Amino acid sequence: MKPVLGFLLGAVLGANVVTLAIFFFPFAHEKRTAELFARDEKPSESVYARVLGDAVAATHGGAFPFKPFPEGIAPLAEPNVAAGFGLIIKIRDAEDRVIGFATELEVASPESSLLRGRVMTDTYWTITLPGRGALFLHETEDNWNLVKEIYLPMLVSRSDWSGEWRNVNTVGPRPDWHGVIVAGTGEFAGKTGRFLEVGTLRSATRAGELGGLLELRLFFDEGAVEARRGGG
Amino acid sequence: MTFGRTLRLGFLVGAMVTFVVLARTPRISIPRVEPVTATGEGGVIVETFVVDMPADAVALTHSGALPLEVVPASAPKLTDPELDRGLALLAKVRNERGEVVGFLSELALTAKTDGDRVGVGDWTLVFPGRGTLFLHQEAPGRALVVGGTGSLAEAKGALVAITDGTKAKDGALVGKVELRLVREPAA
Repeated sequence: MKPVLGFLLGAVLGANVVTLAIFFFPFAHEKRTAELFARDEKPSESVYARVLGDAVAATHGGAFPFKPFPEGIAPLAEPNVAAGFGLIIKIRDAEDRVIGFATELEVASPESSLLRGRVMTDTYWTITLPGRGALFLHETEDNWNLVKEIYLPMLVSRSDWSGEWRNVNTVGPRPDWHGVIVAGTGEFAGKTGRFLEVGTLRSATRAGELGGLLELRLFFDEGAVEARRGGG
Repeated sequence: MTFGRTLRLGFLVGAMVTFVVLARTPRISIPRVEPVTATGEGGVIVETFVVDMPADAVALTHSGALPLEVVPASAPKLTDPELDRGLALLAKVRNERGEVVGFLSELALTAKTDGDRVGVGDWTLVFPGRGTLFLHQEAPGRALVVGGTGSLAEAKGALVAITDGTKAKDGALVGKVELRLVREPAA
């Protein structure tokens, strides 16, 4: 009996040691929020969305800890889209005025692995600002910080979360942890550059509801802007 | 076997199993679907997609100015003044064989001169495991590729509505939209 107990106790200890080692391991990408904020780089422009107050509809195929809405929305249930997520949301300026709307389409990334502190998505933003034009953005996001600092504590404490938590959700695909401005139309035609998705979370529930503010910080390449100006 | 030895063995097994489980969590599986393409005149690559309405419409909303029911019925309308010409759509996309191979969003603005017609629009088509296409529509029926990612990063071409077999029935769009992506072969 004692050897069996020893094995079970050892197994539990081994599992816990590995789990704690991963939890406390200082992954380099965990520090991006602090490092990017420390740079205090001013974006060319920021647009905002209230989460979830500005959201019109959202759905997914089961890979996201997020409650689909509104009531009756179809899931992305088919095998080829089951890793997907789609959101329609209004967009605001810095004065909190609605200036447009956007969609955020995501695909959960097979590169995700808790062992490497990776809970990743490939994310595609389409932002339409009536009278101005549209922007098409691509980023990879890593939600490890969200899992580690919000979701796991919620799971352990069995209670919902509230507070103020800021995080740079973007982790790539650029090596400087920025996403890419792929294309633009209207006044954004010809502009290229990079961007950051910055989330300020103020509430989260175990049912999958979130509250806070999303900021998309746009950094246009000066060269591209100048070239466009020069070209008329 | 002594207690100490089984404890150490258990520790190793527990650590290794947890290591493997954490390495494989979350488990994301994206099936690889080969695109169904044909070669058109001048060597262009032609790929046909279908959106079967209303089954493939996940969400559809607008300002209320269009004679269309929102999807789902509980979806809020775009009532803000800046969005009074807006229409937003999330839908699944099928290939020629009828398999769901991706999903799309369309953000459109009704033309100022025609209150009932959708004029310009911005489309994003996501094909998990393959890539994404960003398109801009300047006129009804044709959208130009303005960018892409993944294996579609260098795509140049247009998405053309070959048939819009949809009809408004009791305020809902019913029927199939056939979209043909015509792109230049990779250099």
